[in-house]
Amino acid sequence: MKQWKIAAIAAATVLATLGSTGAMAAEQYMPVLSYRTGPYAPNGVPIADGIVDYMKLVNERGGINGVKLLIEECETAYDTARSVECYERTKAKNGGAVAIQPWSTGPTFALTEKAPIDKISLVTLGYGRSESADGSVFKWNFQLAGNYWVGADVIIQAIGKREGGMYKLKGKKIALIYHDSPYGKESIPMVRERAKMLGFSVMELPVAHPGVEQKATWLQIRKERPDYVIMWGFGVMNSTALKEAQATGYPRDKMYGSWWAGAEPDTRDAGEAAKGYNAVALQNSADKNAAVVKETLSNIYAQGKGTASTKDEVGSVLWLRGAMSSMVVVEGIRRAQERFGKGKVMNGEQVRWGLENLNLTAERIKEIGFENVIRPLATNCQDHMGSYWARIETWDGKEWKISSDWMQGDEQIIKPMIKAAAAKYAQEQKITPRTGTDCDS
Amino acid sequence: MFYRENGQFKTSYRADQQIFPISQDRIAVLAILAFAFIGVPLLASEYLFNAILIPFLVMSLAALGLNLLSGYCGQISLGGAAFMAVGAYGAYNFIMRVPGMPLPLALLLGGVCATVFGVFFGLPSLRVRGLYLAVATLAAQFFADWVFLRNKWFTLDNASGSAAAPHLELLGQSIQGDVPRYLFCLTVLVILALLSKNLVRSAIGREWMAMRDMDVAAAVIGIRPMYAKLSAFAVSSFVLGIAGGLWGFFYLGAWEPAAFSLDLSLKLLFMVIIGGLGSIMGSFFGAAFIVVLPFALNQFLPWVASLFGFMITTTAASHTELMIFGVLICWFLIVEPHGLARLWSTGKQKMRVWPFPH
Amino acid sequence: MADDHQAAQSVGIPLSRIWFIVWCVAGVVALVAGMIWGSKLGVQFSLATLALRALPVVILGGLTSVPGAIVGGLIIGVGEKLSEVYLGPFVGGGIEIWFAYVLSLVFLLFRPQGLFGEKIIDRV
Repeated sequence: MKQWKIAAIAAATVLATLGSTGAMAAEQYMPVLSYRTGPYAPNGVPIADGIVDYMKLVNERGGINGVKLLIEECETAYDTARSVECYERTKAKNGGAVAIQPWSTGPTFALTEKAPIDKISLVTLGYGRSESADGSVFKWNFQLAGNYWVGADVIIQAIGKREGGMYKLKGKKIALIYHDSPYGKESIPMVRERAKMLGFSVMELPVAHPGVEQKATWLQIRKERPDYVIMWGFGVMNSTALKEAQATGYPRDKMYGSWWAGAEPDTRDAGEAAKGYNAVALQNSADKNAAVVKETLSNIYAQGKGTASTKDEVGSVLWLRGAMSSMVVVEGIRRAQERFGKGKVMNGEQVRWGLENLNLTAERIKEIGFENVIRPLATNCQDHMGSYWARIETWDGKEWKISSDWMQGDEQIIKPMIKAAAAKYAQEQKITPRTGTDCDS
Repeated sequence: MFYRENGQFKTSYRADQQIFPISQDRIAVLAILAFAFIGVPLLASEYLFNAILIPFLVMSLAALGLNLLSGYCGQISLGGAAFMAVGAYGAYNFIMRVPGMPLPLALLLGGVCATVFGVFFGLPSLRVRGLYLAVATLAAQFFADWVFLRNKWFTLDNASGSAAAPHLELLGQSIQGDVPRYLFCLTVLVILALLSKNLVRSAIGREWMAMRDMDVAAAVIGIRPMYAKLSAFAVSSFVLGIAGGLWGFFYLGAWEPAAFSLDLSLKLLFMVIIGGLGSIMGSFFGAAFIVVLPFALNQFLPWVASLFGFMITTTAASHTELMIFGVLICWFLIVEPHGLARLWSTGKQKMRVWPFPH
Repeated sequence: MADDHQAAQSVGIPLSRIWFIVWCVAGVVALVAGMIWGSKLGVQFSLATLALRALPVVILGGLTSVPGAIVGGLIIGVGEKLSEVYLGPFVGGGIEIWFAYVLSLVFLLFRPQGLFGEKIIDRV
């Protein structure tokens, strides 16, 4: 402990002498929990690059009404204990963190318990527990832009559209290959619900972590010959599944993955063999022509200040997802500044209000360069998700491209499911859901 | 000169049999306990509590449990995390399903569940030992993994299969804060460590050590192998179960089955081996090594790099930390295969004859 | 050397050299296995979890027998997948993570020397 204290003092003196711009006035501290090492590094690196690049872009544009962002990365290696340690280490530094993105299911569960006490918003774009979209129970969780139930529903709608109508799904067989973990199991309630409604049968096939062993799974698929396969995997499970599909001869264009199974690291290995593979897009797919991508390349990378090791990564699916996640947090802070003081550093409570009253309009989206990447998003006290829309993207052998229009997850089904699950959580944890005046705080 | 037993005469059997016969030892241990109970809560920061101290305490307890089995009774077990998982899920189910159940009772019942599980999966030790037993306990580990993933009953039919600990309360007072949680874990650790130390000094402990050293000879002199081994499994899984409950409730807050995976089992085994097999003190050293060292390295490396004038990226720091950690483990086992506890006792021995060399 | 280090040394067997050779050979064989797997399915760090399956294989085959290892490998490999396909659906799937270990556990209880191993096993 003594050594740590000496190290801390020495590090502080070194930083001071180096004349860094840390801990100066009017800087919003933004710790970034990233996993650039560990089992999911191929996914973690572009996401972290996207997050940091966008924050650099914001600083370069002049900050949030003049308030610059102080970026600090903390390596978690996708390990829950290390993520919790990173969170504890960074939450009070430099004026305090206001929003944390854990980017991993384990820490999301652990930090959901801690964040309300520390008054830090937990922003989880498209992951975490699906019921955390209910803001009245999960005051500090923001599962913006979509959750797994929306994703699963959009996939089924896309399949229905492909068949020529949702009613045509009756009698069909759909296999659900899922990673045997809370992440994978999140897909099951929605798929089962839709199966009940539309009359198709579901084959649920769990794949044990880490997912390299799928021979038995694909043997079963070859035996049963389902009409479609929904794949809810992450990391090595995705590329293995595509290779196995190729080996057993299952047509890849009948496979639909979740948004964590629809990025370049999953399909690059298989390349041409994965052509036609579809995935649901969490708002964005890869888009090298997006305005924000072009701006980043010309303003950040041209000066050699980019985070990614190659320019090709900018504009990829995961890079854009990281940038998008940064963007919603920045817009949340901006919204908080509108109420609590423009040009001032915001604290956790204020940013929470900002994220809860976010209104991302189409004009604003175009202004910041995210046109065609994200749809308008609006949150409120009850709804911390903000958007029920998603699209389908397809791998054409070389890159991911959007292959469908915007589809809306059926709110009639999803909203009650979220409410029921959130109510169950509230009952277990003895939380009273917020209503009325509490919502306007 | 300072650390010696000269002049400390024992006048009763009770005094002779105490855990710390040398009064300097007693004073030192009491001072450490006083510092731990009173000094640390006053001095430590929130970060230290949440990231270093509480995990250290819980892991020490878990390492203690595993040491009882592997160190004192010689039964190599790679299923430590499975017992912790059973304890955690057991405690979770008891506290959620039975209204008004007090937290300590839920943890104890979780320990009892782990005991039953441990005795059942300890049955193979009656037939095989060594590497074979390690594989048998691996079966326990993977089976537990699968059961908690597959069976929704254990997680109260939660869709995602994760468990979220309820608000922690003791006698009506909330103990959710850092200092209360730390003190609760410390108290549990001190009580169980004391009980374990006495257990290994008693007849049962000697039976275990006899089974470890030469089981055939032990059977010859009348020690019944079944009782000795199964009691070791039972006590060890009880301690591991309570440690699992503490890990889930007091440190993680909410967990999924992957929190108690093979990684944790191997970590526990490393703690026990590096700390010293067959030593209560060794469990603490091992836990400190494995829990604290990665974070210390993580903080230390950027500082060292800045001394040489270059910034180290988080990726490089993380990789270097892993490499150094691995090298340290190997080096350690080559230099002192009996672990840190042996270094400690060698040091104490040198202190006893200081300033003379021998 | 596996039976008794001291006796082997007293007969003149150079322990360190033999250990060195054994570890090298084991490493090379594992390398070949990794290459075969990798050429079909790609190489990632998570292959390490696969390697742990070698322990049940040698227990099934018998620790002292090379043909036993081959036969054990076939039985465990094929058995795992078949059990997942045919037995898995009854219990919800995913049983292949523990099938190999539980099978070896059963073998340990009734036939600790495995299929082809020597009958002398440290039994208690």
